[in-house]
Amino acid sequence: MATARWEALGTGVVLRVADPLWLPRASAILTRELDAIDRACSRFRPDSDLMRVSSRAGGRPVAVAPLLIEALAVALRAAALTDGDVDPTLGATLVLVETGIRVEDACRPAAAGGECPPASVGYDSDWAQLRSAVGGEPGREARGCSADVPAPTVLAQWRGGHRMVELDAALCTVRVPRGIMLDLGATAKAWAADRGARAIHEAAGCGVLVGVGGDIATAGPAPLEGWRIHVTDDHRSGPDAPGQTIAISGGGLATSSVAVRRWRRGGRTLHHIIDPSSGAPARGPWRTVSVAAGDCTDANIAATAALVRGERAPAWLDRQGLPARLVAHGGEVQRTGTWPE
Amino acid sequence: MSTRPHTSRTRDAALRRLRSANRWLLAASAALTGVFTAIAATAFPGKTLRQIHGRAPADAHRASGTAHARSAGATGSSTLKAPAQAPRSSSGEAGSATGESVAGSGSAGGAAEAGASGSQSGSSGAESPSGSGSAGESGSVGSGASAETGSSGSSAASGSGSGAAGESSAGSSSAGSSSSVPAESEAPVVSGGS
Repeated sequence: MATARWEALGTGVVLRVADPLWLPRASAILTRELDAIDRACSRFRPDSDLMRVSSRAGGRPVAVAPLLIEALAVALRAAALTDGDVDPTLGATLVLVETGIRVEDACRPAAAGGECPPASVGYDSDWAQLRSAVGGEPGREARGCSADVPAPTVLAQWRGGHRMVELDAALCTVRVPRGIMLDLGATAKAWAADRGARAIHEAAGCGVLVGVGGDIATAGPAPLEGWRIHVTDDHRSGPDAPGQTIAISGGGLATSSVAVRRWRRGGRTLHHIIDPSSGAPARGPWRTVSVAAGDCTDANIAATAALVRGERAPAWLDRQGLPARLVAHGGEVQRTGTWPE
Repeated sequence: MSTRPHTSRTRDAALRRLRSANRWLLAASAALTGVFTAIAATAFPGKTLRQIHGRAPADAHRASGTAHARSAGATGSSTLKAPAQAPRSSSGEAGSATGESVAGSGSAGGAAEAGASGSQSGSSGAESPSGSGSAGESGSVGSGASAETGSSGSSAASGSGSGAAGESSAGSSSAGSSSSVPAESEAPVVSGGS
């Protein structure tokens, strides 16, 4: 067993492979995978495909990389499966919550009186990049769509802002209406972990665990004792932090929490999990939710949706057949499904 | 040349046959319409125009919202996938000053269980050695990365790249930046909010 750690996608990455000899190559594979996803899906890179789409909101469909099409399909599927509780069109709302500044204002050229978002708002995003990305010219020309990329399935039943995303998987184009800013923060990291784990397993054949920002994906045979994972509020904590250590034999495990990325403004405590129905940080009873699922993406979708759903979350998770551990703001722990004691 | 006279009975019989034939034709055409519709829908997926409602920006009153539905693809499941195997307990709950109390079915107020089972990871630090603390450290895996191997890691120490054909250069190129991190083959990976 060998483990490597580094930073990517603005968060901590952990890679564990059953065969230590494969660690260097597995790291290279994962690094390449994460770089590609960052280039396509980052909200904080002016040259990302995602930002090109947002910067042309209301205009013509934008040709993007197949990777963004897949990532958007994952995000739209998340919205469909959660009745819109996990919505990829909340980017502008998120910026408003983070900074108190509307995207339109933030993106107006300085000469026209546009504001520059504050450098520090208790949230580690690069606002200068964000501003130039949304207001500036796209840095790249659109790329063609590879014909051999499998067209993702997008469910037809949409509700909420995500309904307005026009995604054409065949032409690899995306269009969003004016005022919509995409944000894949709720699904992209978990999806990246899944992709990375699969790619490494396909290359190495051995068991692999990939963690991106606390979202854990596994592929291949697990160790005899299973992949041991400590669930807690903050993925940057150590295994001695308050929480629980469990073992999984496959699939994925994700934790969403409102205990991290919190800040205060105007006398209110804010965080980054947005309730689409209110456009404000979710105010449910849960502080942290961990979910085990068939893959990391689904685990993360369920964990984030549970924070938004609040009181209704345990019953919903039970109906989905997902083992989960929900920690209330006061520290009380509730479990659903087959989550161990 | 003679013709049989049409009696009312033969006329009624003919009408019955005609009615029966009509029914069969109607049923068959309905069934065939359904079959051809399904075949066409599968063969030629298209765009669906739908009216947009709700909290929309200025131009959202126009019909839009395109869903390109195709079968296949990695993202196609219409339900959240449950794990094939249930997670197992590895150490139980570890409470602390921040107070996670275990309330089996959501009942509050239980006293926090103070880390009785957290011993597997040592008492301090995330990277506590477990078992063979002198396990080999492999080369670094990319700038700024730290790598640790478990008890079987001695072979990796000699081989940053040796076992990795082709793509190992990234891993071994920055070997100088490798950091000395204790082995952690048994330390659990942390899942938390980010």
